[in-house]
Amino acid sequence: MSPSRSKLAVCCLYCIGAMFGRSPATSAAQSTDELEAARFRQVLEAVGDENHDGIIERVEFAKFLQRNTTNLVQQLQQSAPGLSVSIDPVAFQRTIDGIARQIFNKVNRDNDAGIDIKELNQFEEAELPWPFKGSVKDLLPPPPAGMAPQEQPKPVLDVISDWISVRKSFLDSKDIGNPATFALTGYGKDQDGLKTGQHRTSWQLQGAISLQPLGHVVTNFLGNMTATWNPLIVLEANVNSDITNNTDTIVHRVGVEGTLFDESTVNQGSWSHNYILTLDYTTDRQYAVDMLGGTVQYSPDKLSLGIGRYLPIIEPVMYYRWRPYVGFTYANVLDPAENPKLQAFSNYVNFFTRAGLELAIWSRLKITPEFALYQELVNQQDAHVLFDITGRLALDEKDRASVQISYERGQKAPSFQSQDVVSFGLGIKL
Amino acid sequence: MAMNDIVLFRLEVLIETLVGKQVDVTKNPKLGEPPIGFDDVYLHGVFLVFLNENQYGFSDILKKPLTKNDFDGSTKINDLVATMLKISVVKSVDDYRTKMTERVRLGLRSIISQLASPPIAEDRIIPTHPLSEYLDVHDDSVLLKLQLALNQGLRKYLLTPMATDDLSGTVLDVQTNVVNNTIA
Repeated sequence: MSPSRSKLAVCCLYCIGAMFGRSPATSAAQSTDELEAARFRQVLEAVGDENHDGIIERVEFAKFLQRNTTNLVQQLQQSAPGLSVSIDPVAFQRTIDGIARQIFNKVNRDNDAGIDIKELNQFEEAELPWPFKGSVKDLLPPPPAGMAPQEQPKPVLDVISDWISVRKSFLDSKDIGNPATFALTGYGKDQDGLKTGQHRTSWQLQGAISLQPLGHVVTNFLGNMTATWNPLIVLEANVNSDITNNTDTIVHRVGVEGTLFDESTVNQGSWSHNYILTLDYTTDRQYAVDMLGGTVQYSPDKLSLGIGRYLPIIEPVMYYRWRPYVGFTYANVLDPAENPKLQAFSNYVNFFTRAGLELAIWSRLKITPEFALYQELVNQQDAHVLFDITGRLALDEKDRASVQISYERGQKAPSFQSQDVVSFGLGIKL
Repeated sequence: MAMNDIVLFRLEVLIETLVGKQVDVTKNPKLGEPPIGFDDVYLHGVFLVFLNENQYGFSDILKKPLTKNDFDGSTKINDLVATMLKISVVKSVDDYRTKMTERVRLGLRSIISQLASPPIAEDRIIPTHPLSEYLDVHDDSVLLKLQLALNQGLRKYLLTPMATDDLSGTVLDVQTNVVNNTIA
């Protein structure tokens, strides 16, 4: 066996089944028809079915509206204290009759004598004009508990994923979207570089959690361009149990991401442009290292080239999509702590270019090679290469849990220590 | 056609416009998987803006704009349709027909006024008057221009493109034919 370094990682599967499932079915013993009939009886009673014919007639509805104007008149009088508010009862009655007629024309499509159960939903949703506010439903008593249609609540993970994104890395978080991974690693007997007393088993966590508040759209930006921007808060960790090898990195980012494109040319398959701008605070697991800096990253969309959209290789079995990136990272090393690589310089500026490819086979099996090239622009001005390939099998329909095997080789920023890692693991993605 | 079918069709038009070719969405695919296959960068960037705008999007029926929390690559297209209908001002096909009638009336009036030779003011076009009063309907090139203008201007609404046969009778007849093509 060659003396090359290798790691073998074994990971535990972790899955909270209930979180992935649908919410419990409603305990509804009553059928929808029964609920509707009960609601119609309730509405009929509230409006006042004077002739007991089982439908809501326009005259009955006008009287119902009239009864509900009492509060409006009082509000009007209160809103103008000191002024004498007088209402012409004939004109007011005519207004109310007009509103009733307007609602009936809209809702009573079959033009029969009145509103029946088939038209109940539209009747309740009908918008009321001034002097009312809202819809007819707002004047009616609320349906008793159990009678209102019950919306199925979103599964917990769906709600969390609305606001939080969990991926392996923030900067390539959304395209090839490799999941956050936790792995237990066993070092073989040929593993180089183990220090005296170092355990032959270790754990490794690679993940990025980003908070995603809602974004904004700016039109007519720089002429015909449309720009979007979303604020970002990110915590990114690449840590392991072996704190002696100086590979721990924790990055805190605050910034914006967004897109810039020309709406008028989009249907001609034009390019659009995605950017990320962040201020970064980088440290290690013990928060001994202090580095302040920033990252700028650019990535285009071009659907016809497969950037941002799957294109077929063997339809319908195999598809690919990919995404290139370029960017700069700057950091001022305030405290390198015990990290000898960081002690060698006081700041760094790295140019990077990366490309991530995703091959999808039968939709659940994904193979994602990534290639990155880093160029140090100050200090030693060396170039560094990092290659990573991951095979991943999704365990659920939404690809939130997966088993994966990955191989990573090369030098990883910012300290550019050599990596040569094979790992099996469980991926979690939100 | 039900309201969700109409919204699904309009989504298909939007996706085909962005992609530049036909995309079959009848098998309820996820937005992030073939045949749609957008990644989340694109979905939450360009696609989201286009969903909420007017040219190909749904600003005419949405009470509030969609957000990136409403969908991602794992969302099936029918679920996106359901989300849109939940925040839509249009609850039924009848409501949609009313909306389309007004939209088509204005669109048709504008197109006729521009195609008329010499051009005439929009408010001079009376729905109950024959189309031939404003356009030379015996000239095939004029009819073709009208057909193209309708099919392009109302593309996101038209379930089936307008044929020249639909462009006869009164202005109101043409309007009714166009509206019918946006519903079924």
